[in-house]
Amino acid sequence: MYLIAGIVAIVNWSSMLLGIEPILSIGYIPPDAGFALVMITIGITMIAAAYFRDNIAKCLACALVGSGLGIASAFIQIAVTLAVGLDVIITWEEGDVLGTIFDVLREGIIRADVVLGLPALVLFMMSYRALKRLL
Amino acid sequence: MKGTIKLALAGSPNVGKSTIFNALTGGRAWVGNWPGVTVEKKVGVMKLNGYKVEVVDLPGIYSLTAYSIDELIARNFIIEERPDVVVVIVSAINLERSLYLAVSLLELGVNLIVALNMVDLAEREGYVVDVKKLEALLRVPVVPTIAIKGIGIDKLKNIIIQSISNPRRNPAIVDYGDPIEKAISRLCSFMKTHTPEVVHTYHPRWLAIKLLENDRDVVEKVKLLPKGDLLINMANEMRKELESVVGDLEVYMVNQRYAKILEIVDKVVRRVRVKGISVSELLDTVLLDKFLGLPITITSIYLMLYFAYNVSLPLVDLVDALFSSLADYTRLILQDKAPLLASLLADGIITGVGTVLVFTPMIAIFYILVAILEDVGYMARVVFVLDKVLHRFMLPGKAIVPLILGFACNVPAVLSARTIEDENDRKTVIMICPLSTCSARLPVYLIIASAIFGTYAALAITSMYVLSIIFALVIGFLFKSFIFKGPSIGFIMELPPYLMPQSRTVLIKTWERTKRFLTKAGTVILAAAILVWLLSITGPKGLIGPEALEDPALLKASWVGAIGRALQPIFTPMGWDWGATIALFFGFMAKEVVVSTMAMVYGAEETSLGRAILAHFSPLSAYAYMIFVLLYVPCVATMAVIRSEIGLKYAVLTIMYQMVLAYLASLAVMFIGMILGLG
Repeated sequence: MYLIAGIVAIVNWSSMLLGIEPILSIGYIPPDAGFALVMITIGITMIAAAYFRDNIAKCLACALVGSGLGIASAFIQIAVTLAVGLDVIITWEEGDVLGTIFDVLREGIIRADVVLGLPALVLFMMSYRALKRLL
Repeated sequence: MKGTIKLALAGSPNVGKSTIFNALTGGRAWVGNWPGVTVEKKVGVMKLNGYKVEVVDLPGIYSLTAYSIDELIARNFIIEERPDVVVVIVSAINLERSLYLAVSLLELGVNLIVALNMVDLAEREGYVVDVKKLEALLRVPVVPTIAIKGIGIDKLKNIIIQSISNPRRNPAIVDYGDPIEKAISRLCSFMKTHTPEVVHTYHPRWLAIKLLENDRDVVEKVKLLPKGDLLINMANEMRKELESVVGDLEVYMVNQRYAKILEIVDKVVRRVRVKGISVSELLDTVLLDKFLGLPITITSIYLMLYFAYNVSLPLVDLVDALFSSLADYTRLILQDKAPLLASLLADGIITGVGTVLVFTPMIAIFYILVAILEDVGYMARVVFVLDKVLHRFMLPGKAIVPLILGFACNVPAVLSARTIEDENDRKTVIMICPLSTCSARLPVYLIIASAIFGTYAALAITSMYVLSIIFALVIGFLFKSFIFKGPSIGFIMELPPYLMPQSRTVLIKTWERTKRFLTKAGTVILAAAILVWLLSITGPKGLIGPEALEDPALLKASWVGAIGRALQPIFTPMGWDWGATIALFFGFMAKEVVVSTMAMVYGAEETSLGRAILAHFSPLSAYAYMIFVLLYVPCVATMAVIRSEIGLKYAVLTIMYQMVLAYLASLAVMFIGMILGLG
């Protein structure tokens, strides 16, 4: 899922640079190269966990690092969304402030990195427990 | 008060030196520079049994050679300042490496105490260090500590007091074998009878060893002493003789020291259980993996910047609003009574200093994140991973921190280069730091690119970032190849175990770094803001008044206008008029000022500035202008920091190379564009 989100983001970002409409228009995935970098990194780290399934220690380490990054990116996005919401209040001059804040929060919270943070949390806890037993 | 004791704290990087320094001094320290160099010197004070103990934090080093500035600083401090006691922090989890510094200090003849830190981690790794035996072999006190938990600190303090009345030294810790020991004895006897002056300055045995090793710093200093040449000649003859037996004498003596250390480690380290895989080792299999390591590192840095930049936005806007209100209020109460003073305060000082201070929250948040990652042990891994990439361009791995930080602001980027041990590497990195396109340049790209390039604006702006990285790497490579060649020391680094960050350490580090940014950038910007204001309200015919800042026609008659028109012919090949030229001139203060100056000079409001830019630039000249803004002189604050870090000569050299580079690059864009028919 992370890898797919990353690929969609990079394709859309490239389309944007070329001045054409996004090829794969999915609202939860911003056309952003930075977002794509994070998603692809998490994706390949988790795929590496599957690749190293015969080496249980490395498999768990990959799952731990990948899911850890997933949780971190979700947490960061939530913090950024709240900060942008707060910034709207600080810099507001005229119009519907509540409506704008609501839009900012909605767009920020339903992003793929936040949504995927939940399964990442579950995977992190599972691999952490397994790792503790291993050590 | 019984008196003042001078204590030096030595240790390799990542052995817990800062934690022990903070534990001893309570974290209260003042920061200065070591004499003659701009490497940071941290001094703290503690009260101990009626003594005032001045604790000097020596740079993090692995040995005491003359190959790195930090090692030279440490040993020169010990030789010249003669501290009453030296505490060396030794890592229990890497005893072999840490003991090399302890042995080097013992040879220097200092009154030494060994703090054996991280004993808990050693036990976790499955072995214990026999402290009594280590003490007996080194013949100096050894105190086991777990600095992060404050364990052993009280005992360390007691031993410090005891060592004042009962100093323990062991300069002959290493036996170099019969022929070398005889040579050392002969040199020592010669010193005592023929050159007694050197014995007052140096420990005779250490000096003899260094002369035999042909240590360049020691040789240069001894040359200046009476009969120093005689001593050097004698040592040279002995070295030739000994090298015919043992080969390269310096290498042989280093090997002897390591042999002694291995003998000690073998006697004091006892394995209590079979070593299993640790969490740190397990995580490192992923974080240092040759395929996964680099993307994880880049992602971590990106997330850090993304968090710092966005989460600080409300605070940045608050500070911005605060300065705007302050400027408005100042105008309101002083405009009628003292218009000149009102303009100086509002348009000059408050706006000028405020431009820099609005970035403080972003920088502080970034520093917090960096301090956390340092404490966790991840920054050492980042450096390890990126070292390989940067080494292809002959740059040290640690250069990545300043170069990345430079995308936010060049001032902290230059300061962060202090972590680079090698002076040549540090100078190179500091001089290429301004090529990192800081966030202050973004408004210039945005306003020009959106006005000229329309839907291709993002591509044009992205190309600035790509070019920024390429120029930094290539120029760094050229500097390292032709200017800062110097002796090359290997990049040795300790990978510390992963630990939980300590809030106290994180806050202390953040405050120290942020305070430096505030004081240095703030003072320089203040002076520069006043200067620019003065140049804007005065002209060759005298005082024009603050109205010049509102009226482009009056501004044309000011010094600013005069300078702009005088410089304009230089930029004629690029098709820029005097307004664009003077905007670049003001950009020397802070790059954002390019935009506001353009608005002022073109007599347009910022909302319609796009149309004004469209009228004054062709697509080709606009792109050349963006490249010029990317590459030309660093802002005043960055220049001041470069000057304070590596000296005026290099600050001037940075201005010159960047000006030439910016000019040639933008001229090349114009030339190539014309050939391709884009003009």
